[in-house]
Amino acid sequence: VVAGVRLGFGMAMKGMVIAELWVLRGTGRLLETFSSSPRRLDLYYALVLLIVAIAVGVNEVLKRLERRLRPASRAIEGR
Amino acid sequence: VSVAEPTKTAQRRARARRFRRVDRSKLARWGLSIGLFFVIWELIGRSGAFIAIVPASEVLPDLWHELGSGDLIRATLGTLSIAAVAFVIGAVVGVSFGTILGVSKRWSDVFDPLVSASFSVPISMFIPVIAVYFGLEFKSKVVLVVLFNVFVIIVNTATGIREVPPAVIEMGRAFEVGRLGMYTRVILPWASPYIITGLRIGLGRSVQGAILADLFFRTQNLGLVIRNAAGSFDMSQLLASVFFITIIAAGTMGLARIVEWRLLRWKSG
Repeated sequence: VVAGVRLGFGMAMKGMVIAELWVLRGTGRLLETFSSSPRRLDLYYALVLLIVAIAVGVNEVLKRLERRLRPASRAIEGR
Repeated sequence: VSVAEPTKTAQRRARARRFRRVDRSKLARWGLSIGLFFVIWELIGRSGAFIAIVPASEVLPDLWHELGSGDLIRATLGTLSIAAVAFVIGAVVGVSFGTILGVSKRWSDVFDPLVSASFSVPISMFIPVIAVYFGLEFKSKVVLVVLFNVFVIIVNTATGIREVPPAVIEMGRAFEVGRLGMYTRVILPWASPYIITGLRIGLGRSVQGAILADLFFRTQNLGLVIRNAAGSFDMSQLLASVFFITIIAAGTMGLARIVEWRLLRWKSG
């Protein structure tokens, strides 16, 4: 279940960025605006780093949760 | 030859019997699932509850007309050509880099966190900056699609190489296989199931990436078909093209599965 949630979260992040780039709202609008001006490219990369940090951070938390719950699921399996 | 012939014929017949048996029940289930899909689609379309969903009975003739005109085929070939070029580049880079990460502990310690992170990171956020550096044409599309497919190929190749048992390498050494031969005749063949699976998944991602690239960079090919249909609110044409893209994607993955099965037949004996 946790592995599914983790994969689902990754897909949701990817879908969110594509959708917001398509409709130019929220993150998508910011990415588009910052990247279109050479003076604001630093902001673009800062935003990219923030998205990466959120995506990787949540992924790692869920991975740890997955690892922690594995012995419990094995114990249930063994019963 | 006379002894081998009957055995071969018997094996062929047994295989054909097995194929027929599996095929019939599988085909029936597939048919039921596809039939149900069309019935539900038609019912939802006819209900009028969703303005964007046109019944299948209107979409399929539109798809037939589009296919007849040749526009959809040309657009599909355009998108698939981007996917193919990027897939070849991604495969060469991915397998080479994956081999390095699989063999060298030092390099894998350096790059593993980055490669693992790339799985959860939305690659599409690089679209604006790829457009700045590579323009809006073919080159930028290929770059995006390579970013879509290369990481899964790297990870699968590296994992496959790490999974080679030390005993197999020992055996290679015992047979005095040289350094290059160890890679080409021992390590890579042993890791081939992982590598080929990575290539198959990479191919699927290439098709996804190519459609996305055709939508976000210079709108062309299937991206143009979708955008035109959506822009003129021609839902029938939009659903026809989406349906056709689904068939193409599923067909590509099906073909890749067959190729994978044929290439790995030697391993399962």
